[in-house]
Amino acid sequence: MGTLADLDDRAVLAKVADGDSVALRELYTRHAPWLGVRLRRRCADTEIVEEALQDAFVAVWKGANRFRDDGDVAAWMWGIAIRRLISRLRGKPALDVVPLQEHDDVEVAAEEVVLASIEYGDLGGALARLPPEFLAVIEATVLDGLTTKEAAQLLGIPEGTVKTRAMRARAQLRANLAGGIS
Amino acid sequence: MTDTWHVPAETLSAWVSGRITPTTAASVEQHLTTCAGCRSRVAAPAADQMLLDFDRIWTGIADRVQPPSMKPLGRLMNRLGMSESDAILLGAASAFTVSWVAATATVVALTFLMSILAPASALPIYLLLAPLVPMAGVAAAYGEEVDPAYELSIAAPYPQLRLLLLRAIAVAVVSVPLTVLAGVGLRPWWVAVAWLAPGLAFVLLLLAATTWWSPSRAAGAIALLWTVASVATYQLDQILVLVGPGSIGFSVFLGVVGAATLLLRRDVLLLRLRIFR
Repeated sequence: MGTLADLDDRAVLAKVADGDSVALRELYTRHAPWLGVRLRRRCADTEIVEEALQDAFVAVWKGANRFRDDGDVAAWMWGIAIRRLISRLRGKPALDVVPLQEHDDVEVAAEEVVLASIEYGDLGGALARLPPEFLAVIEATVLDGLTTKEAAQLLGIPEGTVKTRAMRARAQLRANLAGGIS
Repeated sequence: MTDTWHVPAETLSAWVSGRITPTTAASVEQHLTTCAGCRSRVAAPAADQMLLDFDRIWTGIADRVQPPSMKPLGRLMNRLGMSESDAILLGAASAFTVSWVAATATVVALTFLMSILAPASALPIYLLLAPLVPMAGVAAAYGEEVDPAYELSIAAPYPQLRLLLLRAIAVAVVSVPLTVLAGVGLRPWWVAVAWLAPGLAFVLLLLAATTWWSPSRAAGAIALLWTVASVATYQLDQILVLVGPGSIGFSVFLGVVGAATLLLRRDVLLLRLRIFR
């Protein structure tokens, strides 16, 4: 146990892949808190979050040997956890769906705009001024790295709505950055 | 970037509690993905704010990664090609098999011994016991007393009838070869396999009867009837008739009746098995 704590995540994961449940416990101690809190921020239902977290670590236990050596363990585990949450949520209606506000004045954005390409301007401020339902879509697709379909399941809205909101969010972000306050 | 800047304690605490702007939250989350140091600092505020019960979650994980499953039977079936999840459920159910296999093995060994030492008296005992062995095993597999996996089998989104038949097959895999082996010394030679027809019929009848009674009661009734039949034919010196060519048709008929009843009343059976648990 003393030596286990000195190992990095990949070495611990390798032990988990060999069926070492003490190593799984170590991985849980390291990652369950931040994964749990982060999942909790995506879903208000504590019970579902706890189930998803359980599912995630069971999936890690079974799939530890599928981890690619060049990847990052934390990012890999988050990918598993958020998808476990989505499958727990699947079929359940969203707890509170924020109605989409009308944004008729927004022009259609070019497809290739991504956050990373924006080199100047107050990105944080621009993000903060996005309507919450747009921010949620950006968060799910860009930051959490989900596909349109997964984001739709997480947020409890149709895929088409995710696409529309992502498009409008990008357009508004660009407008915010270019013109300060929109 | 991750070496120079870390999430301040109050920001981390705000992120945990949710009192934080979405933009800052996104920034915190991106940093956490790459910084083990900051990740380890989440545990304390998360525990303070009692957001999630991490101990209980771990208990759930531990139960699921170390189910009461790693039993020989589950491993055997897994090696024979059964899927891992099926094998785990079987394995969980096979706690019963330790005592039951021991009992079966004892009966089988005794019969085998007798078939060598006293072939004349071995035959009726073998014919009496052999067809009951698989049925008793199946009954034990569903008995209301011993099943450490019963909560698992209720909670699992798993077709109960499938589980039930899987367990019956597992029982057969263990008991049938043993019992056949025990009979190889008997005369006539076909006795060692002839009991399979009533044996299979009894398993099906047991499952069918379980739609009315508890497994142990159903097994008791079948065993009683078979004992009566065995003793009666033995008294008449006609015990081979029970498994002879003439009664195979009857065994098949019983089996078909059992299977049909099981199929028709499977909903009742599943419901009853839940109640028994």
